[in-house]
Formats: sequence, C-alpha cells, structure tokens
Amino acid sequence: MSEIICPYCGSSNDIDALTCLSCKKPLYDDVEVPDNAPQQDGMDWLNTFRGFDTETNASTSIAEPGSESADAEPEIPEWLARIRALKGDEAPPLEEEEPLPPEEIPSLLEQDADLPDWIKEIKASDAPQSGEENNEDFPDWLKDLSDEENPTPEPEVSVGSGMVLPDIPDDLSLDEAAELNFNSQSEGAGPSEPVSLPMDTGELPDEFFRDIIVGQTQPAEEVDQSDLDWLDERADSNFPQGEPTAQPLDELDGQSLPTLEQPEPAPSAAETEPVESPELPEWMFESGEPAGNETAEPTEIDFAPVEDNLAGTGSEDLITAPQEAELPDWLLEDEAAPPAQGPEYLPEAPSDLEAGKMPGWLHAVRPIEAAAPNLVASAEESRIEASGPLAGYQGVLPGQGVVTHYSKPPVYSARMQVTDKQRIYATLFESLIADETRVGAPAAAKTKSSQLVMRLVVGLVMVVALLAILILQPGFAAFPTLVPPESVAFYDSVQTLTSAATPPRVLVALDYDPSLSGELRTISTSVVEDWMAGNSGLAFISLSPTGPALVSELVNAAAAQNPAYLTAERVINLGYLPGGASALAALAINPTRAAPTTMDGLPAWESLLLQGMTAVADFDAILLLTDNAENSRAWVEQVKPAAGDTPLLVISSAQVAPALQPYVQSGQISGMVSGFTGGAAYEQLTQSANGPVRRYWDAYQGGMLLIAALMLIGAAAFGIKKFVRRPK
Amino acid sequence: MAPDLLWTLIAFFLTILVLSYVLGDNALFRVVMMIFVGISAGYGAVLLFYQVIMPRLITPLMTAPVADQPGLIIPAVLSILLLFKLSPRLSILGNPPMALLTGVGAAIAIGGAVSGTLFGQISGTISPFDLSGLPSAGSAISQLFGGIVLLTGTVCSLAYFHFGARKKGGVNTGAQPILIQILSRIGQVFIAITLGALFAGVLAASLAALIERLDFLINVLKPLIS
Repeated sequence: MSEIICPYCGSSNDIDALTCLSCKKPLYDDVEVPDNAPQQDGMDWLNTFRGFDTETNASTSIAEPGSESADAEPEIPEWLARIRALKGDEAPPLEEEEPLPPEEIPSLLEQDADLPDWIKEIKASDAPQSGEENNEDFPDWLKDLSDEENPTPEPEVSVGSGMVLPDIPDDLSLDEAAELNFNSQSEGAGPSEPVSLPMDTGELPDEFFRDIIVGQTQPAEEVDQSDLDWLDERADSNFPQGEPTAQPLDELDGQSLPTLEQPEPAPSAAETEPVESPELPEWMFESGEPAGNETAEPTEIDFAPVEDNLAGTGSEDLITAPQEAELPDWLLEDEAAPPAQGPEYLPEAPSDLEAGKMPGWLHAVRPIEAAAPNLVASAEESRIEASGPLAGYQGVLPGQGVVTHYSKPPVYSARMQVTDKQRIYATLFESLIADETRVGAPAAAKTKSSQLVMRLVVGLVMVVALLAILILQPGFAAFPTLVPPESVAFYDSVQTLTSAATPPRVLVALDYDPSLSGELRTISTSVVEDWMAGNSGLAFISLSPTGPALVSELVNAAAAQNPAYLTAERVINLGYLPGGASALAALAINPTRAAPTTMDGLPAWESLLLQGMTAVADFDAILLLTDNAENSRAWVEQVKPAAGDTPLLVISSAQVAPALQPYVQSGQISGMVSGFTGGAAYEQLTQSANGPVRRYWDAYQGGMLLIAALMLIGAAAFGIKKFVRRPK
Repeated sequence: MAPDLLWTLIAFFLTILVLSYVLGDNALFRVVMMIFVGISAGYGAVLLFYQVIMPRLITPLMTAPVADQPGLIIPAVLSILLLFKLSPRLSILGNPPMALLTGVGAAIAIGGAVSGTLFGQISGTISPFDLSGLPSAGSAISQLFGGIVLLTGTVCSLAYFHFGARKKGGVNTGAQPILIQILSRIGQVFIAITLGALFAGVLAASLAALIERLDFLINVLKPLIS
C-alpha cells in the first residue's frame, strides 16, 4: 500500500492524508482546503463506504431537467439526496394493502392520533409549514421557486427516489412497465415475488403515471392540495364514474411503484405495523415520497418534512434517530456547520434527538481533512519566509526548512561482517585450494620429467639400434618379393625409354626440401643411374629454391656410378621455376618462356639437348621427385594434361604416397616409386645388388620393427597403467 | 684440411646438434635451426636475384627492344608495388599485384582441380567397372571388387564431409539424414585408414632420413676410428 512520509517528523501516513497524523503538520505544501470542501468531500468518502452509486444518485436527483425537482436540485445537499436514494433502495416493497378510496385521503391525513410521539413532535413543529394554508409562511425565495416550477413531465420518468425508467413510451401501460422493470431487477436481486397491482393500471393514462412520479420528487411545499385536486380531476376524467378504481396517490405509490423498484423481499408485517397509511398526516402525502418506502422503517416518513426544509430550513436536522445512529457525529456536525457559510443552511438541530455515536471503524477511516479542514491551509499560509530574496512573503514553499532537515548519509562499513563459522569455512576452503596448488605443481614436473626420460630412452634406443644395424649390416631383412604395381609400371616405363634406339629426353622436376633429401636422394639415385645408363638427356627444373643445389648433389651422386655418362652434355639444369601452380601452367603451355635460361644463364632451349623442343609433350617422360602432395597434385593438374601421352613418373617420399595413390589408380601418374619400400622394389626389379636402398634396407626394416615394438610396448604400458589406476 | 673434409665435419657437428633434440628443446638445437633458416633465406635471396630478377626482369629491360618494353614494364611496376606491402601505411599500393596474384592463382587452381583432379578421379573411380579386355574371370572379379571398394570409399568419404542437416517442419533439427549418417560412418573408416597410412608414411620418411644421417655419421667416423 502506498504511503506518504511526513517531511517534518518522518512518520508514515496514508496516501490520502493531507496532514500528518503524528505532528498534525501539512503533508503537502500546496494544500488549500476550501471552506465548503470538507462537507462535500466528507460525504464523498462516506458514500464510498456506504456503497453508493453515483450514477444512481444522479439519476435519482436529476429526474427531469425541466421539472421543478430538477430546478431545485442545486439547492438539495448531495448527502441528503443520496440518503434519500439509499432509503428508496433499501425500502422493501409494501405488502398488499387495502386500497383506500380517494375520499378517505383527507380523513387519513387528519388522523394523527395514532402517530408516534416523535412524529407528533415533528408534526407540531412543522405543521404550520405544511399544507396549503401555510404557503403564506414560506420564505420569499421558496415561493419564487414554487412559481418557477414546471409541472410538464419529461420523457424520462423517475420512479420513486431511487429508480429512473428511461424512455417509457406513452403507450406503454403501467403493467408492462412494472413487469419489465421487475424482471430486470429480479434477475440481479434474487427471488422476489412480484406484487400484482391492486387495480387495473392499464387503464391509467401515462400522464397520470408521470404525474405521480413527478410528485414524488417534488418538495413537500410544492405538492399541495392543488396538486391533489389536479390528481382527482385526472382520476375522475379517466376512470369510469362510480367505480372506486382511482386510488389515492400514496396508496398507488405504495403498491405499484415499490413493486417496480424494490428488489429486496418485503419486510414482515411487524415491521410495517408502526406505520400505517391511514394514520399518516396530510403533509406526509404531500411530500411525494413513495409510500412503499414507508414500510421499511416507520421513520422514513420524516423525509417529507426533510423535503419541506429543502428550501433552507435546516432539513438535515430532521434526520430521524435511527439515521442519526447510522451517521457519524462529525457528519452531523459538518452538516450543522454550513448554515453559517451559506444562507440555505439553518442549523436548527432539535435538542431532543439523541446524538448518534460514530463507529470506531468509521472514525478510523475518516479523512483528516473532514475533521480538521482548515489545519493544512492555516499552517501553510501562516508561515512567513524569513530569509532569502523571498523574505517576508507568506505561503512560500518551505524549501529551506526541508533542506536543512537533511543530514549526512550514514557511513557504512565496507568490511564484511563474517561470523566465526563462516571464517572457519573460508579458512578450510583456502586450505583446500592451497593443497590443490601444491599437489598440481609436483605432478606437472613429474610428467615433464617422465616425458623427457621417455623421449630420451626411445631416441637412444632408436639411434643405438640403427647404428648397430648400419655398422653390423646383419642382412636379416629380405627385399620385398611382392612389388607394388605402380613400381612395376615405373620400372617398365624406365626400361622402355632407356632401351629405345634414341636416347630419351626426360624432364626431371625436383620438388622436395633438403630435410627429406636423405630419403628421396637414396631412392632416386638408382633411378637416375638407370636413366644415365641409357644415355638419357636430363633437364632438371625445380619448384623449390633449394632444388638447384639438390640437383647438383643428385647428379653428382648418380654420375659417380656412371663414369661414361657425359653429364655436361646430357644434363641441363633449368634452375628454379617461381610461381608455384601458375608457373607449372606456364610451363605446360610454353616451357621455353617459363624457363628460358639455364642455371648458368645460358639459353636453355638452344642447347643440343633441348633444341627443337617447344612443349612439355616433346619430352619422352616427366620424372617428378617430390615430398609435397600439393605440388604433386599441381603437376598432375597443370602439366599432365599438356603432356599428352608423355608418361608422368613420380618418385615420392613415403609421406605423400597415400595422397598420390588415387592419381596412380586413375592412370594420371604412369608409375610411382615411394619411400624406401618403393626404392627397394625398384632395385628388386632392376636386380641391383649394391643399390643405396639395399644398403639401408636392414636398418629401415629394423627401425620399423623397433617403432612397432615401441608402440606396442607403449600401448601395453598405458593400458596397464590405466588398469592399475582404475581401482583408486 | 681439404674443403670436403671441412664441410663434412661441419655437417657432422650440425647433425649431432640436431640430434640433441632427443634431450629436449635446447640452445644447441635452436642455434642449428637459426643457422638453417638464415642459410636458406640467404641462399633463396641470392638464387632468386640471379635466377629470377636478373634474367627475367632487369636484363630484358636493359636489352629488349623498345617494342617489347611495355610488356616488361608492367611486371616491373607490379613488382615494385608489391614491395609497398612492407609498409603498413603504403600497403594499399601493394593490393593490385596481390589481387592479380590471387585471382590468377585461384583461376589456375580451380581450372586444374576441375580438369585434372575432379574429372580424373571420377574417371578413375569408374574405370574399374570396365571389365572388357580382362584376360580371365578372376581378374574381372578382382577388379570389380576393387572398384566397389574404391567407389564405396569415395562415396562414403564424401558423405562424411556432408554437413547438411535435416529440416523438419521448417526448423533445422541439426540431425543428418539416416542414409548420410550411415555413409559417413563408413566413410570414417576409410578416412581413418587413409590418415593412418599418411602417419605411417611420415614415420617411414623420418626413419629414412634418420638412417641416412646416421649412415653419414658412420661414414665420417669410420675413417677416423680406423
């Protein structure tokens, strides 16, 4: 629930409060409570507790704009109109009573012997003011109001004090209207038996009905005997003569209208006994109050004198004792106070009425401005600015005072307040983290040292084993008897070309790094030797900057085995071919422009070896020595299509053999020798007894077996280690 | 001391220093690596200057007739612009030659891949199913079996690299179709075998290089010992 803090004392107040409940100072600086506001506001909040519907009140109070009741509406206090509306709503329908003939009405009005004492008192005090003969005693302004009354009914019909029947057509009979309105109310109000009209109201004219309604809302002084005469005339003219069908006004109201507007069940007979229509005074019938409402409480008949006093006679003082018991004291006080402020209120509170007592709950919820309306305004207006440019002015906003009330914000400690238990937990947590840190570091060192030892052991074992094999040359490894088909194809191509009558001219491409020259040079040496043995012309070209140097080493190693081979004439080094795949594409299109000069700067294509050659296809074979899969694929993709039927032979490292195998399978590579295995197969095919691969074959096979053994040992050790650690 | 013996001793010590890596990464090994990098860079620069720049750019510009000069100036200008890549502020000037190199290289690579690898591999995958000309039924069955294995490996390996997911109700569920999942599982086996063969090839190549180096050491030490 929202609340407002008092700027002076800091206490909490309700959001609707205007002044502080504690210090009684105004909560808002700009509060100005008008003098007549408390009465109206007090009634508004009280009405909310009573469950008033403002619309109902409006419809009740504003019956007909042109009628006299509507004209008198501004003069009727709103609280009185709502009380009347409430009474009209709460009044149970009158039980069926014997209709009274019109001629009995005067006699009934004169029978006041059976009235209660309090009614008699009221009667005694108000009798000179009610009645046709007493009109002369009315004040002048009341007479003026009476003269201005417009008896013409309006289309909107007000039924009783709490109901409005809008737009009832003229041709709608009273029965239809009553049934229609009853049904509409009975749906929401629960079971309620409709009371049939004691007379055939269908025969009544609409004007008659409207006149009755209008008469209900008229003040008592306006409904005088002349109005009754007017009613008698209507009754005489509309009803058949001789039939006592025309009912008195009060009986008609009491029997028919409550049936239309009262959803609540009829009260018991005991409740209705104190008030009987024949015993009502005449002024009671002139009040216009529906007779049906009289059955609820006998005191409700006092609304007639209340209406009599609407013209400023202090009618609010005539609220009966039961109503006073329901209304709080402050309300009565407020209602008694206004006459001093306006001419229409005359505080004439009867001294014999017992003052009601305000319920505690109502006193608690009462707005403070209702009890002390001028407190806020007076406190605010009485304050005079003491300092600043506005010094001397009254009613200035109290900014300085509010600011000076503020103090420095409290300083809170930034230290965490930790209990002993929390401190113990934190210490334990820190110790756990510290243990983890201490445990982790030795484990890392142990792992690093173990890895170093393992690497050292494996390296030493490999080196020692290979050295032993190379030195001892045990010869335990046999050359492969099963030769890969690509190696056979390679061998067949070499043998075919070298055995030809014309020495072949071979384009040899070196595309490997010096780091793998030990493998590729060992493999390719025997192949180059065979080419040299066939007096083949070899044109070396390299896609690696280090290729030209490797070419010299390879040629020198192969030429050493073929002293008769004229290296200067049959070997030409085209040097480095920059550009990668683009250079290969250029070489495939026009080799003379791609590699125009030799390593020595001489025109390569004018030499005896390459004279007359303009395309790659002019070579008898292309031999590629490579350890790079990408460059090998570039050779296949760029050069092989331009080479045509020229075979593309590949000597590759073992690490790129799987990548080149698809090209061998597809026939794009005519033959391939890869790794020591391929070299051994080639030497096996050439029946070379002293080939370089054969010299390393034992070490190679021993090293491979040792690697396989170490891998198995390592896998077994890892498995055992995991198996042993698992129970932990 | 003969130059060959000197270079042999240098190679011997450098080989020993490289083999010191068996003890872990150490300063001697890093020194050798630096020497190799420096020598390779120097050798490459000299080689490129004398093998590429001089004979293919400067000499033609000096000696070529005027009619051929424009064809030589354009590469020269592009080469000079390429040097601006060394400066961060002026590197934008090197974008044209870089764009030329990238575009030409991509075009050549794609063209070669399509004509040399894609068509070639498709033809190689189909060719085993051509059983005509085979000498015997056994050869045909063997070739046919090999072709089936080859085709299965090709299709399944390609399916493994199919990363598309099934859409169900317009929502990508992230799951591959069942057929693709089965093929990719089989493809995993082929890819694992291929990677294992590549690893074995790398190991074999390294072992061959080690054997060659150890044989070099033995050949150096043998005369000294004997």
